[in-house]
Amino acid sequence: MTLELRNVSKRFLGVLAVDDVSFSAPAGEITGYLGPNGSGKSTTMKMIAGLIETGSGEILFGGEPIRHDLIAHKRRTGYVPEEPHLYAHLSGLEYLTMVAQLRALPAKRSGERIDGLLRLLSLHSDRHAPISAYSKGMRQKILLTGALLHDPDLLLLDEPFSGLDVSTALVLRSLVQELAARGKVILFSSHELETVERVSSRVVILHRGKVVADDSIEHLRALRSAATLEEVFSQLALEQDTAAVSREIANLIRT
Amino acid sequence: MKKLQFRVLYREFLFRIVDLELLSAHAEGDSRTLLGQLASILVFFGVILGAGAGLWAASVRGGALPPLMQMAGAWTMEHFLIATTMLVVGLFAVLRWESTFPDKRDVLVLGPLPVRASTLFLAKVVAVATALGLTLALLHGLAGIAWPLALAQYDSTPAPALAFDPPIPPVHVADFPSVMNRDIAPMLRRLDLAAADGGAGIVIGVSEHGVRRVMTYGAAKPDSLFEIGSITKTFTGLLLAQMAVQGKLDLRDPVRELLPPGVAAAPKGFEITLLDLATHHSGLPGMPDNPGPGDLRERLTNYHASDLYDFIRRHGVAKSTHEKFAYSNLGFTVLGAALASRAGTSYPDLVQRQITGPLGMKDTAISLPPELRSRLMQGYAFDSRPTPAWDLDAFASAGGIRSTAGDMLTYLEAQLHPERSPFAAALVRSQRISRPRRRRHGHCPRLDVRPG
Repeated sequence: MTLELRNVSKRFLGVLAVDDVSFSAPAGEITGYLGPNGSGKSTTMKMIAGLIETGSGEILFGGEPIRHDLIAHKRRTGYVPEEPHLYAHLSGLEYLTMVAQLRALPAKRSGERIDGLLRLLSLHSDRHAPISAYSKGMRQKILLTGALLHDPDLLLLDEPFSGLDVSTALVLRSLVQELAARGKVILFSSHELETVERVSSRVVILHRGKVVADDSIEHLRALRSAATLEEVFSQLALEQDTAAVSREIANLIRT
Repeated sequence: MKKLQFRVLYREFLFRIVDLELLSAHAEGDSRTLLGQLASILVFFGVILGAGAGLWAASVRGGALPPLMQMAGAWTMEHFLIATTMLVVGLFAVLRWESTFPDKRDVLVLGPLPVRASTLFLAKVVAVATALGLTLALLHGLAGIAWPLALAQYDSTPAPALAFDPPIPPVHVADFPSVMNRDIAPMLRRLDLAAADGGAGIVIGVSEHGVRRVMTYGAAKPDSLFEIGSITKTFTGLLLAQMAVQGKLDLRDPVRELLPPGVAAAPKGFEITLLDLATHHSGLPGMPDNPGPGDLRERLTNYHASDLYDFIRRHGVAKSTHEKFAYSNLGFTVLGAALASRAGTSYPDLVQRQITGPLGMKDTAISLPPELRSRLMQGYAFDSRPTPAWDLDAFASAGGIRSTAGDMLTYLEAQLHPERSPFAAALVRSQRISRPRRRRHGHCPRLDVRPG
């Protein structure tokens, strides 16, 4: 089972957000999806999740274009978006129960899964509190639980560590590796390059909507004579001299 | 699966019709508590409306409400129920119309889930429809059952369906009583002339070429006196015409010049003339602002010349360039006071001297001596309760005359045949007094009194 993007483009109000992107994410691997702000990562994620349509090109999962049966594709996909969009008036338990029902999961099994996941993510005691009272990290855990409930074949993680405490972040890191080992297709987007370097075997780097690198981290490091993924990223996707910019900022606020 | 999804989304959207994020502080996150509180409020009002039906039914059965009040009550309640239903539907349409469409939050939350857009949209529409139906059911459920049952007891005979009779052929005076008895008597019976103490009555006088016929119903006798109300204003208008014919005044005279010295100062702009007062174009309000306390009768009967002059001193006699018609009892009160002042007598005396005396209307007066008072009909208020006579003082020139059917026929015959009366020219003049037609641009200057 493979996720495959073929020449996918997307334009918003005339601006090309995603420009002829092609890559594959095979099962059993964690594919890191990197790029600076505005490079088109989240737009690509939303297109793969079926939230927005592609402008051109094709997205295939398991060899089938997802647009042929978007509902079936969503049944097999778990998506953790960058922003935690939830029904804040519901409690965490109510929200997850609603997600399970909308995914037509058997009530007994989904109840056990929700209960177990909430315990493992230390949310069980707060399950009856409204989501509006949750912290950012707690909301992120709810999103993660909702994305995992139906045991998806494809897991799209867009900045999944946002707001998570250290222990949960460590659990999540191990979890995605465990899921990859069980044959899931995982596309993982994060600005924490160190984490990506630890969990991903290969990365796709976007710059201004275009793919500038699609290779294993090891190969990229060797190719770019770089010690870390951060250095590779700096060479490929950063246009600024970060040290010079930081000096200028420090000087500016002193004037 | 679609059915399950519909049920889940329908429940979610139904609870969300009330903006839970806005009100959740009160509900402490429990949407059911909040919705329960709202439902309780609606049911509370619904019970009050329903209880109103019970009270109304009891009043109708007990005969506490006269037929006219029953009719007014029934119509008012029907209109109220219809109006509140429309109000609720309208409020929903205005406040929650956007609830029928998925918003950004719905797209972001439900978009990644395998839910069809049609299921989502249908759940939204049905949730809004349910909320609207529930609101109406809670508010009007009880009243909707109770009021039709209560109104079913209401006898709608006081409001017969509209029917148009063929034109009535001309009737001679001699035949009039039988025609009246046939056509009007059934209606008069329904008016409940017996009233509380049997004192109510109607008198009808007819004159044809000098042949008179006076018919009485209920407690009325042919020589019974009635308060003729605003017909008095025609007497005041006739007095004005008489004094104009006699050269004692001009219709264009400012009223200020007729009032006692010091009552009104000359205004800077246009000022009220006698013609303005007689044609309800003075711009004066219907009633003064300084009557004493009490009900309408008490306020009118206790209003005296000193009160009127006090009002004029404060209000002044100015008018705008283009005063529109506005019926004013106060205007005729001022006119009567001005005419009496110019004649150097009281208004009742002026009426007696100028009109009722020359016409021989011995049973017509404002202040009644005991013999006339004994024949004055008992008056009844809207609710059929007896009301004391209205002995007007300053307001007499607007509605204070009492008269009999016979005297009123005399007055009518004088109006119909001015040439036979002792003041033919004045009667003709009074019948021709009217506002001059306004020119296309501005007021007719002939009848305006300019300053200076």
